[in-house]
Amino acid sequence: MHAMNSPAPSSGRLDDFDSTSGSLLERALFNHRALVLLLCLATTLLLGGQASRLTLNASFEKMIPRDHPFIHNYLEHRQELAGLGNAVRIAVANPRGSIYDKDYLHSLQQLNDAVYLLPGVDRAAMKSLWTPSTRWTGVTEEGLEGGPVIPDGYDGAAASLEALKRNVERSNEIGQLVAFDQRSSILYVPLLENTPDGHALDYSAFAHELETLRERFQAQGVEIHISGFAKVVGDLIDGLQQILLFFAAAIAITAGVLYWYTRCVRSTALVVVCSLVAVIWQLGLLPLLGYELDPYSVLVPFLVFAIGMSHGAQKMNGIMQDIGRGMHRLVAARFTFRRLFLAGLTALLCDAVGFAVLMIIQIQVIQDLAVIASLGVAVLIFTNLILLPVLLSYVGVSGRAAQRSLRAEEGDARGARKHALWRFLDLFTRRRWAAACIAVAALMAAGGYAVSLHLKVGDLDAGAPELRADSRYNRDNAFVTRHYGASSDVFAVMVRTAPGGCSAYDTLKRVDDLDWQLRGLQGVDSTNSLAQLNRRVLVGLSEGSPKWYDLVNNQATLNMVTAGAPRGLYNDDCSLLTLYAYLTDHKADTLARVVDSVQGFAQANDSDQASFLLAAGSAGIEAATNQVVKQANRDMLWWVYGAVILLCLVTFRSWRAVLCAVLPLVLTSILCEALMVALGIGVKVATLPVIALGVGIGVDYALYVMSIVLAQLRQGASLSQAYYRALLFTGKVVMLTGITLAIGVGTWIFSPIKFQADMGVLLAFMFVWNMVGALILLPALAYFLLPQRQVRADQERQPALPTYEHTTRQHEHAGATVEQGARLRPLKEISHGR
Amino acid sequence: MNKMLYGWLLAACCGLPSAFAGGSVDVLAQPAVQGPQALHAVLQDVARAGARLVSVGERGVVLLSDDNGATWRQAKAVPVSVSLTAVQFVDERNGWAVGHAGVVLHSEDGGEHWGLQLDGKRAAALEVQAAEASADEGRLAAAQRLQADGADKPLLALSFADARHGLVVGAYGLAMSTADGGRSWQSAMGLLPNRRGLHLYALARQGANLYVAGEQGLLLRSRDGGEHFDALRSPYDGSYFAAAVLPDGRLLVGGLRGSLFASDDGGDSLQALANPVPASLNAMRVAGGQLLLANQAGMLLRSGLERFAAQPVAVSDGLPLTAATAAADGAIVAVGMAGARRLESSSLSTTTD
Repeated sequence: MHAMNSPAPSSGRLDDFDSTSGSLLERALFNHRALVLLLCLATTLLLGGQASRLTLNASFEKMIPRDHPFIHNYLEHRQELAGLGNAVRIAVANPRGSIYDKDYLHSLQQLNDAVYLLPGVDRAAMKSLWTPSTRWTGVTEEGLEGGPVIPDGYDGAAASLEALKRNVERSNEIGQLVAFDQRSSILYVPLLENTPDGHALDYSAFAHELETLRERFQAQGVEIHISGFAKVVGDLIDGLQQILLFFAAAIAITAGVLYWYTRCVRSTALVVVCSLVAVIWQLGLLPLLGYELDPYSVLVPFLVFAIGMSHGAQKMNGIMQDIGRGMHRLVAARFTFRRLFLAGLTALLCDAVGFAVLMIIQIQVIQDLAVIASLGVAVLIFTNLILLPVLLSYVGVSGRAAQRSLRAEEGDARGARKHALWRFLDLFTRRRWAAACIAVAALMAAGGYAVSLHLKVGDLDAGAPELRADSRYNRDNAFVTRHYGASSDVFAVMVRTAPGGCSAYDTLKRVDDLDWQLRGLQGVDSTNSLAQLNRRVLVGLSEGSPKWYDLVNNQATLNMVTAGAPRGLYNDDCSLLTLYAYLTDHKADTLARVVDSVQGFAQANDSDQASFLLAAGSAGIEAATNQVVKQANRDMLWWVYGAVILLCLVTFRSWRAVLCAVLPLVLTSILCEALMVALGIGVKVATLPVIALGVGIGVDYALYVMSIVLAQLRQGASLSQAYYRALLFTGKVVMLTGITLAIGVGTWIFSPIKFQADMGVLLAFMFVWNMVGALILLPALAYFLLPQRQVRADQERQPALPTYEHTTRQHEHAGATVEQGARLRPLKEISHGR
Repeated sequence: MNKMLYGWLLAACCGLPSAFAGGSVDVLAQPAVQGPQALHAVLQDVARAGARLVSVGERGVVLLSDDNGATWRQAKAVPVSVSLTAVQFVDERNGWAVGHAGVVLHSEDGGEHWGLQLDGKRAAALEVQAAEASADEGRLAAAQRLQADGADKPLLALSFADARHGLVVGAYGLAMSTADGGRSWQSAMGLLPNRRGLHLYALARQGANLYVAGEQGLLLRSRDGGEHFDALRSPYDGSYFAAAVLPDGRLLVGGLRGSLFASDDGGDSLQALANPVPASLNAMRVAGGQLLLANQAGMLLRSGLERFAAQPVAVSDGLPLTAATAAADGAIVAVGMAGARRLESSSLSTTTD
């Protein structure tokens, strides 16, 4: 701050400039400019090299709230939940008819063999028509009979196809391995955590292998549909790679906008380069610190780039104006540094608040995103506050652009009419327009609030929520759901018993009751449990007579059935049963219904023998995530608004000004929720950062505008005058920032990953609308809220800016607005800092 | 089959840790859950109560239809939640249903409300009394085992001659009779020549003739309405699950793998009939002037009464059918593992002719 108080040089010429003036930091940097540049270059090369080591991954565990009791239960028992294992289903359909077709079966056999050999496949547990474990059983007068479904001596002739058909019908696999319409069959491919060589399974590579196989066998005339978590992850990672394209687009568009604003190739290039350097440093730091990019954090470089661009633009603005007034570029750069280093720091720290608030959400992807984003902001301090001015001192700006940057001020000085846009915005400082504006805003808030009451929690579309509804994966998944019994939305209840107690009648009876209770819920498609298996197996043991379909109170029978039950319904030492509910969708209401039902049942039925634990399965985890997200959504609003209000209060020292700054943000938040309802976006992990970022970065606009307005008002200007000064000073940059940020995130809308697209559209909306709010609603509110010292008659008489004197301009820009009280200075710097 | 089952049981008992002595859950005291899931329950039998259709199934579910099977609703009160296996109404109000845990339920209002008349524990106690009275050591030992097992054995079939006289039979030779509409029951196990305790799956009655069909080719006949039974010589060792008597007195029994036999001399001699579908027959019924057979492959087989000629109609995508009857409007209603289906007479004629 002391640097600010040093007297401005009498001229901008380099010879007159005292290179030993300025703070220690400034001298250290600017008197060793070459060294600074060299260090930055070295860092960029080093971190650029590191950035090439950066990996993309989509870890399932990072996306779940690890502190939620459901997830505790799930993680504690996950080794024993064989039925929820990580498996891929490959449905092979015969477009020419039924599966009892020689060519089809030949292709299926080849595919079976090819998949069998893929690394990471649990070969013993793999199942298809061609694996020997797929058997049929039948009851005859002699007893049980059975064998593999592919008949002995299969030769593809009509007789063996007929035998196969008969075996399949007796195999109990229709709806499991064979579709209800018998026109497709499934390869069920369970995956191991690690490949035989000890490495963790590489989902991306595995998914690509599957794609290769898909291509090879579709050429043979069969249709292939693949579903399963490994494929989702593979597709996600592919989607991440596409994001590079969006990044390129964002760079091109924002550079275009900046050029349109400055009309100077040199300075535009400079800002773009500095912002890119920030991104490179950030990406290079991640592997050094042990982070990798996931589908959420991959968006942070966009944000960092966009913030860098808008900060850079603001810095450019000051320097250009100085150079336009005839200063040497080195002197201009040093003055800009003096003026803006602390101010810029403050502004960047403001952004950091928005990110930091995200740390309260107990979901690792969000916390990672918060860390990575904070890192990016820290890097911006170096690249935008140090590297940019140093580079500028070498490069300078084009003279014409520098002159142009002063045109509006000069125009004012000559008493020319204000720009039409400024005149329009100025209307909102007058009673009628201000009142109308506030009325409209209140109506919008009320309407938006009414709509936002319909806001849902969770993902609302069918299929894998990460991907778009019409993506290849979700179409495949829909095929499998349609043609086979089980849906992909599985809610699993774990029933913990004493070792060996899983087959006790009392326990099974309770499981059976819960099973039946769940089947009565809307949204539950079907269920499966050891109790149900007991019913079915008893029918089989009783010569197939359906009259035996019951859970008999006969422990010996129950033990026998349990002993022969497949993996997945209970664990090795018979101490954990799993009850699966297959849901029709994963909407929050459906999940909440199931959770409530199971929790109520658990309360009434938990005993020493058996306790009912929630929850595993994709739907169970989503239910837990929904609960965390719902809570976090509320907490986040409190925290982020609390932080913003505090920040504004410290800066403005006026609760009235705080209201003026924060109310437009509140309107935006309400409208954003209404927009989510309109677009069918639920509150989910991906929308939480949007709320924090939208408010955290959005308040900057209000800061820029309000700080100038306040300073002017305190000097005795009318609201209209104060606001006009603010517009000239920072309004243009506010608009530029809004547009740059919106474009930076707006390109995500085209992402194949659905939540990225959702984040993009919401963030772009918030950035633009916050800008509009700061420029329109803020002055309207200020009209009614901020005290104005002068009588209204004065304002009418003096619409121009009587306190503005061109001759003092240079002083003011050098940071020494001597007339102002020391208390006001920081405000100016914040506004100027952007 | 029975031997095999016991063998399995033995192996399983040794292989798994012994069970807990649970028992806090009592299915006999747990009323059937009221809820929408009942409409998708596994159904075991369907019968007419006047113009109304009454179907029974898993977990004490009783469904009623007053529009000939187009829509169904759940009965208001069923006191137990065990699977019900068979239902019969003697008029439009009075009916009985039997099920697992040896339950006999009675309704006096066309199936809306049901009361418990008998359960497996009381049935076992009755058999112990009867065995003690008979002074038959072997029978007493078996009866005491039955009592020790508790109510774990299902009743599988029932036949009421009128609103007072009825016989219910079930697994392991369980058989009980009533002469007062179910207010009191007597063990009928001593009447049935079934020393091996085979499962009794089906009853068929015409006049004083009453037939019992069961496991491993068991065929019994009474010519005096159930006072005395003789064993018939069976042409088949497999199990019978279904039996019916045609209006002309012809006896039909069917069972495992679609085997089907007819007798024109009251069961003294049986001849095999040609069944085009080799899937187990779960039920047989004369209804609406035709013979209906429900099989394990989800097909309904229809035949005229004069000459047997089965026409299969696929009903439920391979899921077993358990019973069928004719609704008041002539449509056929079939029930099974996939619930209830109404088959329009028009759709039947086009698919079967």
